Amino acid sequence: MKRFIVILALVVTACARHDDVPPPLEVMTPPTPKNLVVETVDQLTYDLSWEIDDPAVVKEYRIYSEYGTSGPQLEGTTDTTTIQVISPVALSGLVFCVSAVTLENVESALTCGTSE
Amino acid sequence: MPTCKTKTHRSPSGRARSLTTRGLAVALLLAFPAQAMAVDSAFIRSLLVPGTGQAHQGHYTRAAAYAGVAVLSGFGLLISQVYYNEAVDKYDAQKRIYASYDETLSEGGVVSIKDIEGTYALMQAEHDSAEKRFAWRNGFLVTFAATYAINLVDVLISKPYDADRQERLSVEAGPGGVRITKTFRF
Repeated sequence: MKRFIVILALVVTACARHDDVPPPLEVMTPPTPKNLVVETVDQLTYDLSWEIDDPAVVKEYRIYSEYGTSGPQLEGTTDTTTIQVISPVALSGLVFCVSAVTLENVESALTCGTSE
Repeated sequence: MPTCKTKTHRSPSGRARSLTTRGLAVALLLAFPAQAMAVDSAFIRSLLVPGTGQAHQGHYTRAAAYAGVAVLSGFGLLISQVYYNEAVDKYDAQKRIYASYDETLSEGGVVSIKDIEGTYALMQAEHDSAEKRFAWRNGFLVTFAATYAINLVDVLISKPYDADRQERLSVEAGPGGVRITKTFRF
């Protein structure tokens, strides 16, 4: 009986098709930009500025704009915490978002702000 | 009028299989020589379909129990295997996506931390789901195998039901009065 249980246990475990979950990627969680300020210069031009906790680990910042239903569109990148963006469309209440990309190429969550 | 003659040829592998089956049956029957002749036919039946050997021996309640449990656990095994395969496929898909992030990063591409953490959480959830379904599948498998094995052992050690010897209901008159006897068999 004991032998039967052992054989049955071996058969059952041998039929497993799934393996263990792989270890998580060894990447540092990137700092998220904060206090994004969007200043309107004219109908199509905006000045963006933000703050970051740990600028030493940031390689670049990515700036996105959101209009319509197409989701965030990449407007450009910068390695400073300010940028002037020229929008392709003249809209009031345009949403801009910024993210930080670390030296490991990991992009942070987006921080968004609306033009006045 | 022309007649047709047919010859049946058995393949060597089929012959070998037949010999193996007979050898197994002989070995099992030799293990229980006292009832070997009586259980021969019943054993083969139970070997093919659980419960049918017991039915052949006249133990209908046990036959129904073995057949019922075997059918239910067999059906459960089939369904749980399908669900388990589905869960493993989903888990593998998430694992491939997660592995692709590592490749993208090593090639200099940018990956969002939201995607990395989201996919990892999803992969773990799919893994947990696969683990649960694997446990269910194993439960049905063990139940089915145990039912099948017990059914075979039972048919070997059971004696065929003797209706004359085991009256279900009898009335006996004695010095102390009339006694009604009810016999239950399992």
